[in-house]
Amino acid sequence: MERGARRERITRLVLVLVGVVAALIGGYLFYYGLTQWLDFQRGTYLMYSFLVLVLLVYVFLALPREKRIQLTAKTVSVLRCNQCGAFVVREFERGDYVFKEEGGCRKCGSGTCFIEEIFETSLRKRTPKRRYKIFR
Amino acid sequence: MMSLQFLAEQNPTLFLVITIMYALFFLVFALGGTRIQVRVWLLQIEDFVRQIERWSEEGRKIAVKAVREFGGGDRDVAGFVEGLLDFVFIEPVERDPVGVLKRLDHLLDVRKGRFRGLIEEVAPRADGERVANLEMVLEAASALRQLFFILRHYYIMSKESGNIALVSQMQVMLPFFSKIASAYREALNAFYDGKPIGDGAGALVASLLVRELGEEGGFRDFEGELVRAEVEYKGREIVVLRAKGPGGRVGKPGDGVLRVLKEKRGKVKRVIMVDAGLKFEGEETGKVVEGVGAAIGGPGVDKYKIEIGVVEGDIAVDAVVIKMSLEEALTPMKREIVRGVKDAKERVKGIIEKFTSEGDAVIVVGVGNCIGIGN
Repeated sequence: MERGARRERITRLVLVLVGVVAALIGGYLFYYGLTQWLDFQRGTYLMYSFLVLVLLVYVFLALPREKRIQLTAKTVSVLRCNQCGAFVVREFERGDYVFKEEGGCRKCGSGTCFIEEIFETSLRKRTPKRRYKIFR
Repeated sequence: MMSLQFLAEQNPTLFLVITIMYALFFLVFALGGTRIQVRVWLLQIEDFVRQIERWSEEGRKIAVKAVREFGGGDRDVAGFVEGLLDFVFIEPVERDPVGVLKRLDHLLDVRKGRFRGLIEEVAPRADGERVANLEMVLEAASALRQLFFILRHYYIMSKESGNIALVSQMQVMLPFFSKIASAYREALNAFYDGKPIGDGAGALVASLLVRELGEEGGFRDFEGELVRAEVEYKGREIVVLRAKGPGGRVGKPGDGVLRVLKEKRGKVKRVIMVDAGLKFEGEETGKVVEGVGAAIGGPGVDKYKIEIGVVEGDIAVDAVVIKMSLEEALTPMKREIVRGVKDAKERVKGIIEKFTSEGDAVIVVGVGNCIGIGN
């Protein structure tokens, strides 16, 4: 894919150049249109600038983009004492597993703490997708 | 029209330029519109394939790092991992279908033995649980690499042909490929850290059931990679099977069920299988549904064995399924799935109470990958 990477860079450059030229022409036509005295002349030039803007949007959409992955969730371990039932939630540590013994309970002192649950929790507050609600 | 006439009179040069631009615009789109569309689609596909290539490379690096942690030091770990990622499995011939599952079962056993043996050789400091996790890391990295190879193959083929129909088919499928690839990528990280994944929901139900009805750690080694516990619930004898944890194992529940059926000789009245099942888009994650049949995925070998066993003994087989998407099955367990696990445990107890009598024996099978889930 090495050759492909070079070609992608060239395509990206060409698209950016087309975009810049289109933006300049569009800007000029828009300015020229606004400074006309007659209404129909103004409308014509503004229409041309709008067409160039459409081309600009198309060029922008065609630009290859890298998807960025954001950290949206973290995994937590829930520790519970088998005597007093007290629980602690902490971030998952490598080597944790469900039902693993995690030493004595700090609260009651007599019980043993076990990892009761390990689950992934979202860092962002998610809003339910409204479009599905009507089907439920 | 009026405005164009006026423009032609006022500024003939600009009018000519605009007219030529219009003519060019129509010519380009009328004659080369399809080609432009194909180019744009190919750019999108290429971008996607390159992203999968990066993920595949990332997966290889994670696999090398994971193996190196337990390596002996004198081995070429990178070369070894490279070899394992390209390891091929040739499925048995299906033109003569008689005994195809038996042959598939044997070949899968040979593959597993060879794969595990190679890992033990290159990572001598890893214990059984770590070896199982390493196996999962390598499997996920291998799946990602295979996906990249397949996508690159079809991308090059469609690009060379320049056929809009071929290119469009691939472009249409990109969102689905993206979902599969990101699921494997997430799975790789989960396997490396040893986090429980959504697919382990069935095994977690089995463990919670044993902990509630019997004593802690009531499981003992059984057939192959399976563990077994025996508890009593309202006068019924419950045999609970699941794969051994907390390493990444799935075991062979089919063999386990057949052995218990043979041991109990007609005493077993019901087999209850608990597994993670694929949900439809828009369905709730962690929803528990009940049904009939052997709830188990994979190549079908275990499903076949369980079906044969229950048909021979005229035993009912129930399915309790915890719904989730493909990504959720392969990524760290979501809170909704943990809630579903608790609900599924109650459903299993309900089935036992409702459909069996005192003195009956019931087999409960917790199906799934036990990574990060202790016995």
